[in-house]
Amino acid sequence: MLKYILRRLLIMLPIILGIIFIVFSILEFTPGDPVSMILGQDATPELIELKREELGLNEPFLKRYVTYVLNVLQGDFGNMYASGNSVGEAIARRLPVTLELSILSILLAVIVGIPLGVLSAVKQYSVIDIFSILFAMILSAMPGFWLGLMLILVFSTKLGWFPSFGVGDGLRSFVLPCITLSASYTAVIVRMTRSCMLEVISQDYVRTARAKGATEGRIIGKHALRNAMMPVLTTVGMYFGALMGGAVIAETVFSLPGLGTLLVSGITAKDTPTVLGCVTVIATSISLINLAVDVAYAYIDPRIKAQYASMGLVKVKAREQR
Amino acid sequence: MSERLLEIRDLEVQYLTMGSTVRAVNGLSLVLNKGETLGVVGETGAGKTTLALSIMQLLPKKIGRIAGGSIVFAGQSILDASAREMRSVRGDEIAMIFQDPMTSLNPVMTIGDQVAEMLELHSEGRDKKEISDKVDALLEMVGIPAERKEEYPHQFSGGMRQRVVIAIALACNPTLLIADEPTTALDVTIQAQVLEMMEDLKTRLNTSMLLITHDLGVVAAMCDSVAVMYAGRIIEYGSVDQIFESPLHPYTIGLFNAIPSLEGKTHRLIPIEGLMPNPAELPQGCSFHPRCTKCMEVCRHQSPPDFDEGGHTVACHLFGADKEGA
Repeated sequence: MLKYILRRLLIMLPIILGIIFIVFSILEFTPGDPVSMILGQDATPELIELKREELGLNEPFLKRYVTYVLNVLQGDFGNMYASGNSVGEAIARRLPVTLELSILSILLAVIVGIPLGVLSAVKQYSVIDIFSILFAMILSAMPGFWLGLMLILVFSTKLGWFPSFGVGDGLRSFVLPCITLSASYTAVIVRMTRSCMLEVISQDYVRTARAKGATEGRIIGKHALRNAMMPVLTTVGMYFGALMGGAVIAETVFSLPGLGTLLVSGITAKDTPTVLGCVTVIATSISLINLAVDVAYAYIDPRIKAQYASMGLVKVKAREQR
Repeated sequence: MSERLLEIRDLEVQYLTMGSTVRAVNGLSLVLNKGETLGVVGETGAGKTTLALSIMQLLPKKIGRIAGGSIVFAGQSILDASAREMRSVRGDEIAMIFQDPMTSLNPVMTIGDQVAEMLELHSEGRDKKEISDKVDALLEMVGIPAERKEEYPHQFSGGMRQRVVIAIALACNPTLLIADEPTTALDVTIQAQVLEMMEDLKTRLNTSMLLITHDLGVVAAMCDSVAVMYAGRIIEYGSVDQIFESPLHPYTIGLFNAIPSLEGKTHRLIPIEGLMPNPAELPQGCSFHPRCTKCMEVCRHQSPPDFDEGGHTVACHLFGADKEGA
């Protein structure tokens, strides 16, 4: 297992280098010039040339890519074109906010979504089932920005329970953004859990468990749930990755200093170092989340664990044969 | 006469599906004595599995329901038992071996845990060590090395999995074992092994068995008596000798004509023409009459009563008092 994890971590390196290369090329070959954006439209050609030299933009494309990668490997993400501030520092300031927001939102979605989905599958067609399907439908139908604004209107402006912007209030300031973000994810998790559970409950081994005289709680908790969790886990991993990519709308509505807004402002200003820095961090965290999901699979399903182990084994055997 | 273990009277089981009622079991009656093996044979769709699930009270919720009749097990009515009482009967007193070993074990639990679960559920107060020893003994009994108990179902072949299923079923020494086509999914050599093992265990533990199968060879080898099922009803019942030596019902005779014989000259097999009637629209009268070669006028209108001759029962108008009425 450890070997598998190490191998996956090694594979991550070329993946991230590839992602940086693609983003670098896109920024390079799309129209728009960062320098004229910094200096404005009235800048003289001499000034522009000077600024280009200063930012190192006159170097060949590939050389700049290599230099950038080498710097990143040393932990240096470069400076923003416009302000000259360190990109690394900006990310370090914003990453905790995004992390906290993502983790709390996904936790909320899981804590609400999975039990509701299980309950609704176990009591199929009951009042609880209808309620939870309805609940999920409403959640997924509400656009994020609208839900955010409504929550602010009720809980900040009217009731004054939670702050409407910023992160100054500790955990309390994350309550409304997390509800906003997790709404649509909760809806998907409820429906996913429900349909997976329904499928598993009709399996033969669940009937075997019943024939053993197991209680309904044990049948659901011990036999069905674990088998139903694989697709749900995949979804949770995907959404967690998406959240790490920044939640621009929630960040904008609640004025949170997260990665999403930094990335978007970088893109509009064609600020290459900012964009690249954000993309690198996001790509790394998504890769790590995927790895975590794959490792979790192995713990849920022994068949997958055997597959991981045999993947290493097959290679060793092939080498021995040579 | 030996002691009665299971007595089913006029059992009616229905499945409620969209707009129609499927009558899977229609007025079925049977008796099983202690220590005996009763074979239930019949085509696919005759209601054999439904019968087994009714005894276990494991009919699919909401769509399956018992519409009438009674099931008495060891002097107690199963249909009146509460869910809690039923849970303690299931596994402990009535155990079931399911048809398909490939799907009836939980893929994410070790086989040792799955056997141990049965023991944990029905014998409180015993410590972990004792349960673990018992699991080892059970696995050895069905021919699986105890050191493989940490392995998962996917690491076993079909025949080995069926042994695990049997070990689970026998864990609590049940008084009644329901085996629903225990060998259908296995190849012939493994079939013989599994059957031999079940026979051996049955005599050792003095378990009664309800063996559901469509394999008449298995019945001849394993059973004391045979019940032939057709469209949810037992149409012929008798000892193995009675049924095999002198089958009475045209359907039973048809079944025997449809299997190849090793003795004598090989002639063409004679299949029973047609298909099992749709249980949602059973024909009037005797439900076998559309396929029966000896169909008479009375068969189309009147359901035949059971005719008893020395413990050999048959439900057919060809026999008994109705003969003259034809």
